[in-house]
Amino acid sequence: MSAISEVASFWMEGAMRTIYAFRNGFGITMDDPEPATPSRVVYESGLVKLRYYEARGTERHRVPLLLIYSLIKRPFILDLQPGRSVVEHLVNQGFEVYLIDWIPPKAEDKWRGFDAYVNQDIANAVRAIQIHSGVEQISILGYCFGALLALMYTALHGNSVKNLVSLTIPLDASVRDLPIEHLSAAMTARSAELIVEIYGNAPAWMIYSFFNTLAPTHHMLDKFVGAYRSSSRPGYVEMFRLFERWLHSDVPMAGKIFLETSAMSRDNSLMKSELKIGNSVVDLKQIVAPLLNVIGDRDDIVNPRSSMPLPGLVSSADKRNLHYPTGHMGAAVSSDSLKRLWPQISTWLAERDN
Amino acid sequence: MIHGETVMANKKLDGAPGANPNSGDTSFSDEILKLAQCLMPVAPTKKVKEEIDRAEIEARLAEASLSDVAWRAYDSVVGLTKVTTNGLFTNETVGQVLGTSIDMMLRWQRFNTAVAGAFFTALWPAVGLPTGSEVAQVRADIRGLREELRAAVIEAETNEDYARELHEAVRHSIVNGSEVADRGPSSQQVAVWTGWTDPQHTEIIANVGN
Repeated sequence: MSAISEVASFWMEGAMRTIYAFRNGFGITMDDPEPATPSRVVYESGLVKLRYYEARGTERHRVPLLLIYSLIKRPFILDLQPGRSVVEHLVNQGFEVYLIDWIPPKAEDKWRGFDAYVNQDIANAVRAIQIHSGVEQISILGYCFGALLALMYTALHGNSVKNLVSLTIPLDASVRDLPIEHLSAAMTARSAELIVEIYGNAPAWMIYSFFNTLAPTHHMLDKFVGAYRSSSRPGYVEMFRLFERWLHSDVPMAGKIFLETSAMSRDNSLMKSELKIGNSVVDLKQIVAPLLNVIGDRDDIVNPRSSMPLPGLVSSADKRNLHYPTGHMGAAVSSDSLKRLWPQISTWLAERDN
Repeated sequence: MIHGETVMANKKLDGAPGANPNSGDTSFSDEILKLAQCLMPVAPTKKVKEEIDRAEIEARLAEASLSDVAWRAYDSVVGLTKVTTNGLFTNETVGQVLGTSIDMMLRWQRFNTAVAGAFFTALWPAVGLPTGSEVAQVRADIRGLREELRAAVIEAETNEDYARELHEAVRHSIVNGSEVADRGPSSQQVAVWTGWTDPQHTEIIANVGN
C-alpha cells in the first residue's frame, strides 16, 4: 500500500502541474527555474533575448558559441542543474557561450515566419555577438528545431559562421518509421491552416497534447511509477520534478512559421534545397563551414535516419556524423551524455578555434 | 519537437527521468511471453513438470518474491500497451481517421466561434448590454477624461500658487512700500504668466497625460 500511496502522490503532483499549465498557458509565463549557470542579457529585440555566459578557467577559446534551441519549449533544459547542464559544461571548457532565449509569440506575432526568425532574429543576435565579443565569425550549435534554424542561417549567411554543430536535426521528412512521424503526417495542410485561422498562433496546449499523445501510458502513469521506483537514488526526485517542469513549458508557435514548417515537412523542401525564405532559396550546398552532425541512435522524437543525410548535402570539406547511443532529451540531460558526448563536441569545437 | 523520453525504471537509469516511451526494441510477442512467464512461474502439466528439473523450479520460486513478480508483470503490461500504441499510430488507416477527425474538430470549432460571435454581437444590443468593444471604448474615453482632469488640476494649482504669490507681493508692497523699489518690474511676472515661458510650467504641460 505504501508503493501505491507514493505513486499516487507523484501522480497527483503531476496532475496538478498539468492543470496549472493548462490554466496559465504553459511556458508563455516564462517562469523558469533558477538557472544553474549565471548569465546576463546582452541583447533583446524582436522575439530574441540573447543571454551571455562568461567562460571560466584560464584557457579560453577565441570563437564564441551560439546555442539555438527549439521554438516550442523553454530553453532551460540546457542549463537544468549543476552537473546536468550543457551550458555549464561548455563554459567550464572555456567557451564564451551565448544562448537565444526565444520570447514566446503573442497574437500580434502570428505573421512571423522563417524569414523573421532566421533573417531578422538570428541575424541580429549574431550581429550583437560580433559586437559584444569582437570577432567576425562564431560557432553555432542548434538543437532539434533550433538545428534547422541554424542550418538555414548558415546556408544564407555563411560568412558569419565558423563552425556548425547540429544536434538531433529533423532534416529528412520523408523518413516515416516512428509514431511521431505518422502522427505528424496525419495533419493535413487544411488542418494547419484552420489552426492558424482559429488561434492565430499554434497554441501551447495543442503542442503539449500532441507530444503527450505519442506515449499516453508513459505520461499518464508509467513515469510516476518510475519516479517512485527510483526515488531512493540521490537527487532523482528533484531532477524528475525539474524535468517535469520543462515538459510543461510548451510555448505557442507563431502562425506563419507553423504553416511553413508544416509545408516544409510535407514537401521535404529543405532536404531538397527548395525551401524559400524571404527572397532567397536555402541551398545547403552553400554551407562550407565545418560541420558536426550529432545523432542520437535511440532518439524516438527525431528519427536518426532523418538526421544522417546532412553531411552529404553540404559542401563543407570538414564534416561528419557523430553517433551516440542516447535519446532525444538524453543528449542534453543524461549524465552519460554530459560525461562522454559533450566532451567530444567541445573538443571538436576547440580544435577548430583558430 | 522536443519531449521526454523514457528509460524503464528497472533498468539502470542514467538518462532523463522520463525517457524513451516509444522505443521499438520489443515486439508484441516478446511482451506477451514476459507476461506469461510472470503469471505462470510453474509449469502447469505433469508432463511438463517431469521435463523440467525440480530443483531448478524450487530455486526459482525461492528467488521470486511476490513484489518482483508484480513489477515484472507491470513492466510487461506497460510494454504491451506501448507496442500496441505504436502499432496504432503507424497504421495508415488510423492515421487517416485521425487526420479526418482533427480536420472535422477544427472546422466545428471555427463554425462555433463564428456563430457564437454573430449571436452575441446581435444579442447584446438587443437586451441593452454593451459589447466588449463598446466597453473598451468607454474605458479609453475615461482614460482620456482622467488625463484632461489631471492637466486641469495641475493648471489650477499652478494658477492658485501664482495668485497666492501675487497676493503676497501686493500685500508686501502695501505694508513695506519702500522695499518695492528694489524688486524687478511686475511686467516680468506678467510675461511668465501669459506666455508660459517659465521652463518649469512648460515641463509640467509636456508631462500631463503620461
